[in-house]
Amino acid sequence: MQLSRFVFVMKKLSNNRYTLNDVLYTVPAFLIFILVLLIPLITTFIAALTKWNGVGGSMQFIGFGNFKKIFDPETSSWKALVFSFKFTVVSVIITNLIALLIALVITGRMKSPLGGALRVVYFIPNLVGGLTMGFIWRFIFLRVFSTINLPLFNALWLATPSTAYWASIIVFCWKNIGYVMLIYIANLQNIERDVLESAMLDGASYISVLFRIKLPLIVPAITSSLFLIISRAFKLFDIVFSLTGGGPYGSTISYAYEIYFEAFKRNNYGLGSAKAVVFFVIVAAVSLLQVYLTKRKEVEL
Amino acid sequence: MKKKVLVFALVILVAMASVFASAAAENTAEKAKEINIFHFKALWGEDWLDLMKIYEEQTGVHVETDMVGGDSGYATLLKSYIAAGEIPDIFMVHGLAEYDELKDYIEPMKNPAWEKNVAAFAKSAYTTADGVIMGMPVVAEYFGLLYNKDIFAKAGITETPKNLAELAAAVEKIKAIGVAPFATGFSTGWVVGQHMMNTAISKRADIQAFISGLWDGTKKLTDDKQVLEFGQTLDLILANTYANPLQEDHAASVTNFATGKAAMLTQGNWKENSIRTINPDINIGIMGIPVGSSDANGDSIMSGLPFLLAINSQISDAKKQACMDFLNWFVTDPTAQKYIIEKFAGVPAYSNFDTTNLSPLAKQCVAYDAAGKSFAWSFSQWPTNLPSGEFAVDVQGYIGGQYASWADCVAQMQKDWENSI
Repeated sequence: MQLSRFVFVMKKLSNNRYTLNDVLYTVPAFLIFILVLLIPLITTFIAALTKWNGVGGSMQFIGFGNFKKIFDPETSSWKALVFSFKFTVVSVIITNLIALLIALVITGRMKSPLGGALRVVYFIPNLVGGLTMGFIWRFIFLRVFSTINLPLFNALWLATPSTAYWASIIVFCWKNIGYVMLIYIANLQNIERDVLESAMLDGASYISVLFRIKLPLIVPAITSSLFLIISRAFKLFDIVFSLTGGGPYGSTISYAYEIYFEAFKRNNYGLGSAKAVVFFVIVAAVSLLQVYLTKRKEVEL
Repeated sequence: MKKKVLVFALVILVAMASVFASAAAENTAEKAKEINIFHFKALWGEDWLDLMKIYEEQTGVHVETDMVGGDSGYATLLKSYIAAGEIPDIFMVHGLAEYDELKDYIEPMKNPAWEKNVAAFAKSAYTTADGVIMGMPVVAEYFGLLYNKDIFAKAGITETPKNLAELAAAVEKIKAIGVAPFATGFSTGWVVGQHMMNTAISKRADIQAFISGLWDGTKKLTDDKQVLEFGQTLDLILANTYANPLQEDHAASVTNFATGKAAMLTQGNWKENSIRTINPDINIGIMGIPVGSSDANGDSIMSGLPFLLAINSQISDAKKQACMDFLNWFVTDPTAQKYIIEKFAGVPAYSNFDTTNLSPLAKQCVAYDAAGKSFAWSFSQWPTNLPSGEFAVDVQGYIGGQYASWADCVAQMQKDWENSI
């Protein structure tokens, strides 16, 4: 009875003919999708075309005027966009390089119990929330480092734009390295031992094993880690919020922070929404590119 | 077919359940056994919560408190609560400019019981131009230079400086005994953008005319001698700080001042409790910040109502009444009055308080008022994004060397003002 029912459903699915009953099953998920994704997205698009203070008064329709303001190089939003791009490029490279290095070390020589312990230690920062971490590191930069009388430590970490930029990068990488490292470890451990052993028997050096066998085989992991960190870095908000507060003098305001600033601090809800739309387009483009590349680049033996 | 019926029955059930749930919620609101309040006086801390317990014991009404610190962007948080539809029953507003933004959510108070006791100096601050009472004042606050009397005595400074030249001389004397003159906290936005700039802008007799001139464009910060000369004061402070001003936030500056590492602190009397928590025996006073070398009122401090307590207009009448009752209680009940004076170290904006137990610093502030040596602050009438936003960024940029001169920084502030209106 059940089996025949199953066969019946499968046949119907393969014929692409759905009854009302089938469609009903998707209603809860669809409702949630509409409520928490579609409606806010549409209201943001509408608000982006208006001038409104976000709390009271009336909305005034002004067309695409808000978007013109965003790409004016004189404005704070352009500065924030530039900061976010610079931040993303540098932190993506640093995070992935260090994570890969640690993963290679842990899966290589140190297959001892120490490897497991190290894995946990490197992963822990990822479990701490971004806001908390920002506050902890703020304390470290301001109160702990200043007690260490060495050139790099007694620098004014959060007082100049360039040091504050590097401080945000340090905290961001520190948080994300553990996560990316786990992805690399999982993929490195999936490489068949036969391949590595035969390479070794053939007299391949560590370097050539690394570049000719290991790295090509973990390309899918590299692409997904790259894009994971690209989107995380571009969406940076909580770390700068609590670490630098956007300071000194607004030099570390990320693009996501700028949206919040515009909508709720400067009371330009419309302009803030327009910025959010631009943000959405950029993040969506990056994610689509990721899906496309990950599907294409996968290598199998 | 049976299944379809079942599914629809379920959907209707869920819908009805949610209707009943909201109806139930409204029923409890009718009795108004609980009100909630959102304010930015996190430094009242435990004392505030104790007072709320006392109120619950007396009246059976529970007051749910949500409080944040002054540098956590209270106004921004309030707006995001409003945007999310979770408007607190009672909340703080800074003043007139903020009222204009939030007036859809603020219940006008009609003949409130507390009004007959309001002190004369506070009377003008809570009524709008069209006569609406938008909120209830509680305390007055004062901003200036807090100084450590013991360090001053040790450095041989017998009289507090009355102008910039005397302040510069005092700075030299303090440096001579090996103490840093200033703790600043300038990395905190509201210290620089709100209170320091307020000192530069508001220290004048015709402040209302100046502010309306700024709003309608007939006056400019860049044309104002006093604002331009404020750069001299800033330069004197910046050259003699204990810590790097952009690295030291307001909490760190309080610590540095309270532990005697710095002799003076650019802060207000509301920090007295925090200072005494760190160093209970400290002997402190307050004096004015001279605005440039030609300031004739160098020994005057800034004063004003830091906040008004407003009631949400979107709640039921019973709840509004409960809020009103609470507000009246807060400024008339003897226990509450005692808390305001002794635990919050506040200077009440009312004439019916017993002020014998005012803290020494608060008494000094009241004396400044009585001697006519205080100027009302005006930042609650500026565009609301400026005080801890653009102005803070601009002055911090000046501190960080982003501008060639103070005049350039003032030009940027004028631009920000024009962009905000």
